[in-house]
Amino acid sequence: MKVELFGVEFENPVWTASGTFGFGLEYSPYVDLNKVGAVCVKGLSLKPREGNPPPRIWETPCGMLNAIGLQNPGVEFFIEKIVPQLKRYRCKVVANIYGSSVEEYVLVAKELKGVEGVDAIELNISCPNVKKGGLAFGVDPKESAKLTEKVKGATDKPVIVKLSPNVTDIVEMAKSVESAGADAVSAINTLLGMAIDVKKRKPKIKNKFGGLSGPAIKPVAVRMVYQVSRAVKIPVIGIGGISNWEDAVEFFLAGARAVQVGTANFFNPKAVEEIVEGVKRYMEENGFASIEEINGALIED
Amino acid sequence: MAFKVLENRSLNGRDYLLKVKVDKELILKVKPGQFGMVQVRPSLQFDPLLRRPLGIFDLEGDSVSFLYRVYGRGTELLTRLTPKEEVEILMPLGSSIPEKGSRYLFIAGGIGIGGVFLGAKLFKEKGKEVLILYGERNRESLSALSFIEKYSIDSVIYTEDGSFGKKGLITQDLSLYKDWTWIACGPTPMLKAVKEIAEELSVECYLSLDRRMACGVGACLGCTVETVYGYKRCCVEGPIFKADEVIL
Repeated sequence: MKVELFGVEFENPVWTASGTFGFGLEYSPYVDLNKVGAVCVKGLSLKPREGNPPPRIWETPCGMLNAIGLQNPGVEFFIEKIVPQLKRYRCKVVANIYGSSVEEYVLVAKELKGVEGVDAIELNISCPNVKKGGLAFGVDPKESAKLTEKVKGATDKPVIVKLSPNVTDIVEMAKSVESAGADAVSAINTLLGMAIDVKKRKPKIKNKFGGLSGPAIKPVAVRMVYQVSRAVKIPVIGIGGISNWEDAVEFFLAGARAVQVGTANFFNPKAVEEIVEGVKRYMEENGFASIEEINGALIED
Repeated sequence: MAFKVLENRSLNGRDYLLKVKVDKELILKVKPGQFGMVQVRPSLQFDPLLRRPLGIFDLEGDSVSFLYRVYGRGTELLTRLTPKEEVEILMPLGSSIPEKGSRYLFIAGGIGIGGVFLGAKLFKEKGKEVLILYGERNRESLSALSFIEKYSIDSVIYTEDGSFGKKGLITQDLSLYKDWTWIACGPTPMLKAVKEIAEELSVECYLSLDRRMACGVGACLGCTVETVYGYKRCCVEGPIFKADEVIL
């Protein structure tokens, strides 16, 4: 099931989504990291971030809201303490990065330049839970193109741009970052949501709004991956509620060259391993030799 | 991992005991104060999505049990599990009760008994001096009483309406136990009171905290607890915290 994207060879096309798998090491007692195609690590900023005040999560029908606020130990800690540990595994490492300004994104990317054991950068321009940066770059095609270009110029690594669904036209966003030099796009980040406690008459999450994830958002994600993959030439990585192999195949049929499993890790730590096995079986039974063959197999009358 | 259900019975209509079969190796790993992430949704459904963190209540032979109270849809669904079915649980997780003391006072408010009972039982077996203070609204709510009696653990019972044991709040006599190490689990107002009294009396005190969790293994950063050292994860740095370090 090896796949090659932007010059990097991955053991398989099933990765873990940023923010749902820590740095991978947290899950290492329960999951064989050698069987994970890639770990997209928790969003990294230049300096450590404390994140948002609690409560940060709330369960919703077939999904959950979160407003973690990009709590992370900073890119330097990641390079010094985490990367050496991740190198022991065959999984590829995608550094998800965040900045509150273009300059900060560029500085984080520069820190990662030449770091062995980091295989790609994922540009988080779609986090709905931080006040500055994040989503601000993800809703304006000009801003996101400018940012993509600057980060591309600052790094030797392939750059994946993670797109927000909280836009009028995700296709326009995808085309814009493609023309700015993005090596791939991943879609979708969480949908901005809200839940209210009717007894207390207060938002369930301290941040008021949170990002909705889980099986509840899958149809939105499939539709967006379908639209984007038909509009750009660069690979599209599908994300959004993928919980079993059927979900993954659905994204491949929609046009995704790889997928990221997110919230499912929380309720089933074995999700990635099970999906890899399931997709393998599906490919054998249906005579598919590659993910690209599944990409072209959707029947549309 | 999937575990076979041995027992899942109502103790008083609101509190339930879930007992699952485990292998001996796992029993040896469990330390008092730890918890498990228990799947409550039927296996082919995605609702309710997340596992529920439940304190490990007891170990017996080759079984682990959880004492849980029905609060919402998740715990309600859990009551429908029947013996011989399997249930997915990730365990043991989190920090445990430090064992360096010799006299331990376990302060359990309501279903908080589920988080501290194992500590009392195991520390007694190790020859430490152990006393449980167990408080509830009334006699019917004291679902763990039979377990305290079964293992002959010394206890003082408090009920708010006086229908059993001493009438009043569990915190009212705490000043009698200045020379003990305190371990408390229960509703936040109770924990706040215990923390305050412990600080006044300079008593070494630990709290077992409960937060909504998504992963249970330190990855999602959802179960944040405010401490004097910044935000900590209830599932990894906790659920057992030093009382003077947390901000409630």
